[in-house]
Amino acid sequence: MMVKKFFLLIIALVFCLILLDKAFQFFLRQNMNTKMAYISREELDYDLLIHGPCEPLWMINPTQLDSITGISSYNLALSHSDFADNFIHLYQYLKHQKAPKYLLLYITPESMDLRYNKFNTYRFADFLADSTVASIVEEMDPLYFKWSKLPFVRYAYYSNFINFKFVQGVKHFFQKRKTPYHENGYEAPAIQAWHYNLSKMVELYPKNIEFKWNSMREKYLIKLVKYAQKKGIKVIFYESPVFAPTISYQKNRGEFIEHIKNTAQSLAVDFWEFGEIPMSKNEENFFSTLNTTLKGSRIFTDTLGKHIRQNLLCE
Amino acid sequence: MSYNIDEIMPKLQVIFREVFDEPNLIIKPELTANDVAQWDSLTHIAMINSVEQTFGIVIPFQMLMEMESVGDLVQGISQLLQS
Amino acid sequence: MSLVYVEYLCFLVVFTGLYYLTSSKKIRAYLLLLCSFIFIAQHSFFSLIFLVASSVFTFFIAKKIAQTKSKPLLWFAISLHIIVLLGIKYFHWGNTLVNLSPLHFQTNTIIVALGVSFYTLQHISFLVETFHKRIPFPSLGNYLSYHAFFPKISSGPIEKPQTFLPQLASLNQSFSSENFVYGFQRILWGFFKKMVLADRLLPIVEQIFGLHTPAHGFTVWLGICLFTLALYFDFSAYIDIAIGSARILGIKLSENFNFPLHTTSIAAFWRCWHITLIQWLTQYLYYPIVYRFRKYPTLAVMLAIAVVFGLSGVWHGWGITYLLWAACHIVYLWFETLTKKQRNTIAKKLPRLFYQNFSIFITFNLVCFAHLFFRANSFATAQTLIQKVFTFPFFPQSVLVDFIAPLAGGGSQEQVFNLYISLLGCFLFLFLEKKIYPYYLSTKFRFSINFILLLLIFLFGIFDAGEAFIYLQF
Repeated sequence: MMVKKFFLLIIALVFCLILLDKAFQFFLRQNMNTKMAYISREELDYDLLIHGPCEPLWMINPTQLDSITGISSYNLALSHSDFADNFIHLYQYLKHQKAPKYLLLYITPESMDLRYNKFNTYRFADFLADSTVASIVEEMDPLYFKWSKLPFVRYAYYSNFINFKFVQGVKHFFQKRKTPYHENGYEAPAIQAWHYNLSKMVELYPKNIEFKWNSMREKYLIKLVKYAQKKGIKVIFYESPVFAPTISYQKNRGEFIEHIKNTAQSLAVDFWEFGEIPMSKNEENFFSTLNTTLKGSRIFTDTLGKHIRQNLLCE
Repeated sequence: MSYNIDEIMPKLQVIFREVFDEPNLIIKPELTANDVAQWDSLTHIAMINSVEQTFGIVIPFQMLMEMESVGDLVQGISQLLQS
Repeated sequence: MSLVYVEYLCFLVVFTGLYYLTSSKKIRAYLLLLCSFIFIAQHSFFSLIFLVASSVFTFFIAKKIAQTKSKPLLWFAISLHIIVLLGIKYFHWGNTLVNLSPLHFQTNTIIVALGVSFYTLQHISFLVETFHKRIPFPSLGNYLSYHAFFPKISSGPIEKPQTFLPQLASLNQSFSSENFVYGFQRILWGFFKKMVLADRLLPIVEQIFGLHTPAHGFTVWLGICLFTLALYFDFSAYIDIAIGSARILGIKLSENFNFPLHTTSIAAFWRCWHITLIQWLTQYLYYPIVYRFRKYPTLAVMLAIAVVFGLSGVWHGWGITYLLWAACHIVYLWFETLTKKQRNTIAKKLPRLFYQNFSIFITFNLVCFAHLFFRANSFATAQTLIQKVFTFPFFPQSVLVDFIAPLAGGGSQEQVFNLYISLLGCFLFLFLEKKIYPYYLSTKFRFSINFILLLLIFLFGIFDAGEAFIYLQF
C-alpha cells in the first residue's frame, strides 16, 4: 500500500515536471529581454554586430556609434560570456537573421584565460533541441548536459538564472511585447554604489598576474571566426582600454597581445588595439580594470566610431 | 533507620516540590528531568544534596552517573539505606 | 544535480537492494561493513586506514581494560585519543581550510581523516562504558561498523555504544515499508533543507562574512543571523539524510536537533542543538564535574559549563575564534545560572506569550552573535564585522543600495528576485517547521507535503553548486 503510494508520488512528480518543462519552454521564449529569445523571434537587419562579454555590452552604444558611422549596428554581447557562449549567440543570430557585413569581436588577454568569464549554460537551456547548440553545451558543461535529459532538469539545474526570466516571460507574453528593454543590445553601466572605489580596486588587484592561454578558448575563437567568415562577414578583433595603473601588474600582457595578433593574422582578421589610448589613464572612466563608467563608455564609443569610419568604411 | 520504598516516595515528593518549585508535583518512578520544567543541572544537584541530607546518605559517584529517573533514584536510596 | 547527492542516493539504493536480498544477520553485517569501507575509501583511502587502525587499537585496549579493570590503561587510551585528535585539528588534517575558494568557505576542504572528530568521541565513550561494564562486549566487526556506518561517518550523530551496538547485533529484520517511507521522508526533508534553504543562503552569508560589501548596521546583522539559519538548515539536513538512510536499513540513529531556534533560553537551546555532542559532553564531563563539587552547587555548575564549552570550542577547531564562540556561550549560561530566580519572577509578571516570544528573540540573537565568531575566518574579520554592525545609522538609508544590493551581491532585478525568494523561503520555513513537521510524518497529509517539497526542490533548489556540508569540516 505504502509502496504503491510512493510510486504514485513519483509518477505525479514526473507528470508535473513535464508540464513545467513545457510551460518554461514556452514562456522563456516570450522574454524579449533575453538575447537568445529576441534574436530568434523578431526580424532584425544590421550592418555591424558587436560581440563579446560585459565590456562591449556596457561600453559600446550602437545608437551613438551609428550616428558617427552612418551604418546600423547591434550589440550582441552578454556579460560573463566566453567564446563558446559568443559562438552560440552568433550562430542563433545567423540562423534567424540576415548576416551582417561586419562583426566586431572583443578580445583581450583575459578572453583567452579560463579565469575570466565563462560558458553560461543556462542561456541555452531552451535551445538544446538544436544539435549544434546541444553539442557545444555537452562539451562545455557535460554534467549539466547529462542531467538535462530528465524532464525539467534543464531549467531546474540553474534555477537562479532561469526563474526570474520565466516570470518576466509570462509578463511579456501578456503584454504582447515585441522589443527588449535595451533595444540596441547595449546596457549602460550601472552606478556601482556598493562597489569599492577605484583606488581600493587597484590595491586589491592581484600583483603579478600571469595569464594562461586556454586551448578551449582558442578553439571556439577560431570556430566563431571561421563560421562568420563562411557566412561572408568581415570579422575584426578589438582590444578595449585597460585602466592604466593595472597594466604594470600584468606580467605577460605583451606576450599575450602578440599571441592574439598572430592568431588574428592566421585567420586573416584585423586586430584593433585600444588598450593604452589616452582615456585609459583617467580613473573617472573606469569602475574596474576593463569596465568603463558611463563617461568612459561614451568616450570609447566615440573613438571606436571614428576608427570604424576611417578604417572600415573608407576602404 | 530503615525505610522501604513506600516511605521513600513521600519524602522525595516533599523534596521535589520544594526544589523544583512546583507545589502540586506528583512524582512517579518513570518521572525524568524532561517532565519537570525547573529540573536542570542546578536544581538537580540541589535535589541530590537535599536527598543526601534528608536520608543521611552519600550517593556514590557511579550511582549518580547511572540515575536517569525517579525510579532509579528510589532504588539507589533504598540500596544505600540497606547497606 | 550535484554529483555528491546523486552518487550518495545511488549508493544507498544499490546498497539497500543488496542488504535486503539476504536475511542472514552475518552476511548483512559484513555487507554493511564492506560498503561503509568503500564509502570512506572513495573519500580518501587514508581516512579508511586511520579509522580501521584507531578502531582496532581501541578494541583491543578495551578488551584488556575489560579483563583487568585497569584505570591507568583507560586513562592512557583516552589521553592518546585526545592527543591524536588535537594533533589532527592542529595540523588541519580534519578541516583544511587552506584551499579557500573565493566564493564558498567550505569548498575544496581536504579532509584527510573523515569523521575523526565524531568517532574519537565514540571511542572514548566505548572505553568508559567498557570499563564500568555497562555494555556487552561487541565483536570486532560490529565495533568497526559502529564507527564506519556510512550514513553517519562524516558528521555524526555521535552514537552511544549502548544504543547503537545492540542494533548491529540484530540486523535480521525484514524490509519494512514503514521504515522505508519514514526514511524516504526524512531524506527528502533533508534535501529540501539543504538545496532550497541552506545552499540559497550560503552565497548571501559569504557576501557579508567575506567583507565584500561596505554595508553596515542591520544589513550586516541580518547576514550574521542568516549564517545561523544556514548552519542549522545545513547541519540538520545532513542529520535528516543520515537518520533517513539508516532507518531504511532498519537502524535508528539519535536525533541531533529539536527545533533549536524556537527555544527560549540558551540552556534550552543547547538541549536542542547538536544534541548528541552535548549529551556526550554532559555525560562525560559536565556531570562528573558537577557531582564532584556538588557541595557548592552554583560554582560547580559554572565550572562545568566553562570546561564543557571550552572543550567544545577546541573540538570544533584550534583558533581564537572558536574559543570566543565558546566564551560567548559560557557567559550566556553563567548569566542564566545566576539570574534564574529573577528571570522566573519576571516571567510570572509578564503576559506568557509576550515573554515567550521575547525570550525566543533574545536567545536567537545571542546565538547568532556567538556564531559570528564561529564563521569568521579570523579574529580580525570578527572584529571588523562587529564594528560594521555598530556603525550608525543602524537601519539602511536606501533599501536598494544599503540593504538589498549588498546581500544579493548586486542590485539587478534578477538578483533581487532571488534574494527575496531565499529570505522568504527560509523565514517562512523557520516559523512553520515546528507546525508542519508533525503533519509531514502523519499519514494524512504525507502525500501532498512530499509532493510539494519535491516540486519546490525542482523549482528553487540549488543543483549546480551543491556545497559540501558545513559540519564535514569538524
